[in-house]
Amino acid sequence: MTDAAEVDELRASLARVLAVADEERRRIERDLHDGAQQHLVAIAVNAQLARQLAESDPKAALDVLEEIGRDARVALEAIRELAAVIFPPLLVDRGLAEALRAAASAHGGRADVDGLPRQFAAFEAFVYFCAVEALAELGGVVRVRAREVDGQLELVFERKAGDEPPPLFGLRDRVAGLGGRVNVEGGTVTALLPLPR
Amino acid sequence: MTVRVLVADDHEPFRGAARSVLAATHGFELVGEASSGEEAVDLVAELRPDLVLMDIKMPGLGGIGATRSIADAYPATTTVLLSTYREQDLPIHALSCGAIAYLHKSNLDAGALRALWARRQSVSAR
Repeated sequence: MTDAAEVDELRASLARVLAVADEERRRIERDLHDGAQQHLVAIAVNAQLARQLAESDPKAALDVLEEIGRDARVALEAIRELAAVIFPPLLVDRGLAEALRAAASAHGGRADVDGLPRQFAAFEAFVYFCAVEALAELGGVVRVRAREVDGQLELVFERKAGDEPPPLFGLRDRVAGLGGRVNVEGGTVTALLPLPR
Repeated sequence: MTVRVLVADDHEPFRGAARSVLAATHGFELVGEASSGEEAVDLVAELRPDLVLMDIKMPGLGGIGATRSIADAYPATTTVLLSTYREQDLPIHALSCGAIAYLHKSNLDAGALRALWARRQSVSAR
């Protein structure tokens, strides 16, 4: 590839990364609006109603308080789920291997990551979000493998036989950002990421 | 007179809270619920409510488009826009689509309903 072509490719890659980041922010805004915020609004309205009913109809006020409790629990769960998507606590507490197991399981697959040592937190987060991107882009991943090989972290996604992988722009852009590369062979996608020194 | 109210919002938690407020507010009665702008317009045609509490951000036509349709076709029905926006962040057409007022969803209570209805009567008396 010529220098000019490389620069063009890097610019295109950067534009895609920024577009994905913008879309992610919009998705988080939608999740907040459609999820926790609606329950918090209901809590505010019902709290005022309970205050109004407290003297005139205490039984009805108790029913409204029950409703407030239910909405508060649902809002908390919605916030917990969103926070886990933004940055899973599992990744911080237990590391990349456990977070990959959970991500693979959430997509209906499994992860073979035994013996994967802990790395710098920033690197683990980078690899984790590469994996999440790949799982979302690929769909139907049955197995994720991760291991260290020759100064690199090898991340392998196995799909059902015969499935042709999509272009994987998101995964390729992320991996390229760290100087790694992505190989596709049949239903298997391999990302190779240089380990931090 | 009982004010017949339609609530249009695609979020059930708010519709549920609005149901409770209307049930507890003397002089107001919930007559229908819609979860999209299109459904709100259809239900206004069918039920002819006095007042529509209309969420701004809904799928499809949305609350502002639905309010415009209702104001054109059913001028006897009064529409109030609701959302969780601050007033200064309202979409540009919110104040010109035919709604008589904007109410932050969290402020919906008996007092707000009465004040909105009194405002509607003062507007129509002009």
